[in-house]
Amino acid sequence: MPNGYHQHNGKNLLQQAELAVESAIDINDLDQIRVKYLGKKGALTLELKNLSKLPIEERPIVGEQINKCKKKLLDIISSKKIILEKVEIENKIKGSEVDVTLPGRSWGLGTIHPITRTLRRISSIFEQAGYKIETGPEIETEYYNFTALNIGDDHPARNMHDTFYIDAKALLRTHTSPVQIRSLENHGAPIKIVAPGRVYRCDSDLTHTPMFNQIEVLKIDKNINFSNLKSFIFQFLSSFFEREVELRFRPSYFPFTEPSAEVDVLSESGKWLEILGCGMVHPNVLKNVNIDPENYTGFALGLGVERLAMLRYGISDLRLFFENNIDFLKQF
Amino acid sequence: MKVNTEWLKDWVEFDCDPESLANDLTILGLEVASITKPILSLDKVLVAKIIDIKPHSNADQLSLCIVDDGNNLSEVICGAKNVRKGLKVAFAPVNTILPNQVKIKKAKIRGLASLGMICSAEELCLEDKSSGILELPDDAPIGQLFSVYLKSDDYVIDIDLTPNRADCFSIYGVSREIAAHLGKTLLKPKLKKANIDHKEQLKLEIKEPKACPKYIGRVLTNINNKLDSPIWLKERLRRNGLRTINPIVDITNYVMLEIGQPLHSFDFTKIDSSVVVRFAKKNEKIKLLDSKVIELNPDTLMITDKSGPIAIAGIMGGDRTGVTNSTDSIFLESAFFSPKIIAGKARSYNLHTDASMRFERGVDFEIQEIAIEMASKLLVDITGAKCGSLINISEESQYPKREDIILREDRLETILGIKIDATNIGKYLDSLGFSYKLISGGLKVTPPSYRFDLSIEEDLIEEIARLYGYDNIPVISSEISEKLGYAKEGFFSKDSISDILVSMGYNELITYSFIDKEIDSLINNTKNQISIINPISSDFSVLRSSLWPGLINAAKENLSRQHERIKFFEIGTEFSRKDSKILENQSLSGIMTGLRSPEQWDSDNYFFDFFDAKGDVEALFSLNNNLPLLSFEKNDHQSLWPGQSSRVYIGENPVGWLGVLHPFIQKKLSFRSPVVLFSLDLDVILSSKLTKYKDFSKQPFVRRDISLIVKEAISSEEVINIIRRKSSRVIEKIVIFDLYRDKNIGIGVKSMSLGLILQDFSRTLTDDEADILVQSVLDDLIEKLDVKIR
Repeated sequence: MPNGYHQHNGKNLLQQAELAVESAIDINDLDQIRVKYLGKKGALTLELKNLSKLPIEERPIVGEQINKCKKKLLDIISSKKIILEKVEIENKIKGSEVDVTLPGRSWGLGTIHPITRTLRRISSIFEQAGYKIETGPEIETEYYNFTALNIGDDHPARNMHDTFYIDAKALLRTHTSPVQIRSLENHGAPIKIVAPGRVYRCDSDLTHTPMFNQIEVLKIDKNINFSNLKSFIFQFLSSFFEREVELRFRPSYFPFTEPSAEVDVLSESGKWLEILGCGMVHPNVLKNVNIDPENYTGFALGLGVERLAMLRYGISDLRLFFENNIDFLKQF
Repeated sequence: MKVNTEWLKDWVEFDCDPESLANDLTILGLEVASITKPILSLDKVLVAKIIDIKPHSNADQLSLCIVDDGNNLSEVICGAKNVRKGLKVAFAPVNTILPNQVKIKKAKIRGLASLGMICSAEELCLEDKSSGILELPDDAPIGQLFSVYLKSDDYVIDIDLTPNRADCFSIYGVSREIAAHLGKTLLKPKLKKANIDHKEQLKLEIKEPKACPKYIGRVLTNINNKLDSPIWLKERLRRNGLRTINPIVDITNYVMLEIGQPLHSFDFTKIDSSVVVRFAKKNEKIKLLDSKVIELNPDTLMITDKSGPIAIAGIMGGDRTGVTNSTDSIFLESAFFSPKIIAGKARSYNLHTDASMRFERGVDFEIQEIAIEMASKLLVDITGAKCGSLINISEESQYPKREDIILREDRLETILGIKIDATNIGKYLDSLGFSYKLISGGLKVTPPSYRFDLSIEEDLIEEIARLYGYDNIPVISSEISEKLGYAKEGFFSKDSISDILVSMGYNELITYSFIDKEIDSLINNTKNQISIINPISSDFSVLRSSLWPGLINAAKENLSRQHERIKFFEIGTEFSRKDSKILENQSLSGIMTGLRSPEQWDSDNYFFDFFDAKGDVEALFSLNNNLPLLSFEKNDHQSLWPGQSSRVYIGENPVGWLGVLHPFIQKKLSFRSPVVLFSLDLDVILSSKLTKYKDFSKQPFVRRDISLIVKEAISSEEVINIIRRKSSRVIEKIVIFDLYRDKNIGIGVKSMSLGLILQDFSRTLTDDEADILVQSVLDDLIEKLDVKIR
């Protein structure tokens, strides 16, 4: 014993540990080395525990030496750890490259039918103007579908060639105009409503389907006149087509309006396209719902939703709307 | 209805181009569908005369004609049978290009030179098929360009007439509109009485003066009906879309086109003694001109003789008294039948004639005499007819009423938003030929006999607006206030439901409301079907009681187009019968079939099953946390897979169905993978209340997992209900995180693992408390459901 103190193994252990740390290949390895020397039963820990076997005066000195070794080993381990961690992440990155061009995981989105989409736009325009959405039954009576709308008993529309009948009294509504009558009966005048819905006619060819969608608009108030109707339609169609439309109003005939008009819009290619029918509500219609036509006047218009959708989206075949082909639907 | 400009000019002078005329008509309310040119270019074709004719030296069938075209004499070879000396013809000199694009060249025919061609109507595109050369009348001026002679600077305007404008069903009616619009003078048709040449009469009786207020007839004899109608007449008919038949038919058609009065001619020799106008008798039949035999309804007005019906009044003549080429005497009818009597009749027999179209909308009841005299004169001039005197039975009291209408200046302003004084209103009425008196504040107007669409003030206001021009009425908004409606909350919109389904991958469909009866009966109880009396086809014969058939059909169609994954929904009406009432219910229905997820590079893919649809339905309802509890009850449905079919409840109320299409139907419709369907009452999904905030626990939660062996027959719901009952105060959530069946755990049982999320509202639960609670839950499960703990 050169210095007369009790010999301890700290330095040797430190040397061994240093070598082991140096050759550690990963964090796991390193951790095992830490446990081997510094863990609860680690070699250096045991050395410290053995201090108690030494004479009491030697203990602080030897203890300090072992603690120095311990601290040095800890330093070595933690700097090695930084290096190994870096290596580990680098390795992880190396093996983890993805093909970013592979498609993402998704269950896919569906689509809204173009008719619904058009109906929504139209309804939202009218709602902006304070019109309330009303609906009515699809199976109607002759009274609501015809009589109350001033369509005479011998009018050809009442024929089975034009109208689907369920029985002698019930028929499939041929237009959304019956909603006018029902709403007026329920709410009276003044009134501002818009009524979208399915309608039915016995017609099936390139340009007709036996079922289609219509929107009916009705406004009744004091002093509503034809120039108000013109303004309303101009506002509506400009809003729908997102441009200041050029319109042509021409006289036409509907039993439930007088005067009646057909409205054409000038297409971007310079052609007049028939777009809707309208007019001032016929006094007989008002009388049928107990409104005095001398007190109230109003306008009504009806439009074909399919036609607007076709113009808007450049669809040329009406029947596509009801074939429900995914390749068609997914475009909307 | 077609009108040609050349004919219109007989009645009103105008010189605008056809496009602007068409535009004028359209803005008057006579919508022009098309403008066409009835004559193709006739180039250098001339009116010429055959001054000499010799047989062709080398061909028996051909003739050598010397043709004088005013400038030259040409030798022309012609093969037509009707070629003869002195005939006026349409001659195409060498270098003329015919309308069919054939260029006439010098030709050698069987050794002889031919310098031009004598044309047939077919070669000039005036006829589809000609049997010889075109014969021109003797007064055709030699040397005149044939295009000038034929008045080929003409346009045919096709008008889509609205049903109220019966008055425009003629050249004259349209001329009246043009005159009113352009401020021109309209010539009036004049009554020119024919000379009476013989005393031939016919006994006539009108049994129904209400249905037939006016009937004028005349016997005409000595008719040569074997002739061809003159070219000017044939051309006018052709340009207005009518075929030429023989002079009698052509002339009656001509008068109808010109002034709108349908005429009918009966072969006089075939009428059995007298003519009676009456309603059809029961079971009475008539063989029509087109050889069709129809049985008549007793509400049909008939023209009859002693042997029975000879015509359906105002619609079509009968075969027995029909005019043929050899007819030489006729009884000509010019009548006014009440529109009410004719309306709908032609259609009910599936007939549609020029006469019925006019009568059912209303013919001017003051022109019958003018019309019959016009036709008589033409028959005299063209066929050499001899006229008998007119037989006229009229009941003036039965003429359509023309009540005076008061038109107020201020009402006009109320309706149109423009001010026009009575004097100026009067000017517009003058131009339309209406008679009126000025009264204080307006006018008293008598509608004319040719208008059947004027009965109230607004009708006249429309007339004024038409002539004033709809486009000249200003554009003035009626919206003066900025009153905003209530921005309603506390309900779901159909749109938001649709959008959610779209984000779940569903395509929205719109399918027909009517479907095939057979397909409907796969889904619905056949007794309750709602049939359409007059379906457009058998595929569309009943109103759908469910949206499923439409969705199933669309799914099938798309699968056949090689789409492998179908997720569709539709919102629409379902029709059902309850007692005698028909109910309409708004349904939200969906279908899924095929691959659960789009084909992908790393995921296992399965077919859609019950739980895919159930998950979506649960998600939909979870939006709306103000609804009573959603539950699914095992229940059989005729079109669903037994055991994979459930009724959907909100609280106590059944609100729909969810399940897998019955394997039998799946097979029948050739679906390769299961088809999952749901249908929900839309109104229930949409109904909601405004959300009210509830306080929530801020304590950490404790989780305890339990694993049970449960008998197959016990549903997960039963297990969960017991757990909830036991621990409702602190149970926040229960999840089923594993479920499997394995012979190692036994037959007829399943292993179920649940996670219990426990949370107290006011304090942290201790581990001990949680363990005690879980133990009591397990005890309960063992006792009540006989489960085993794993």
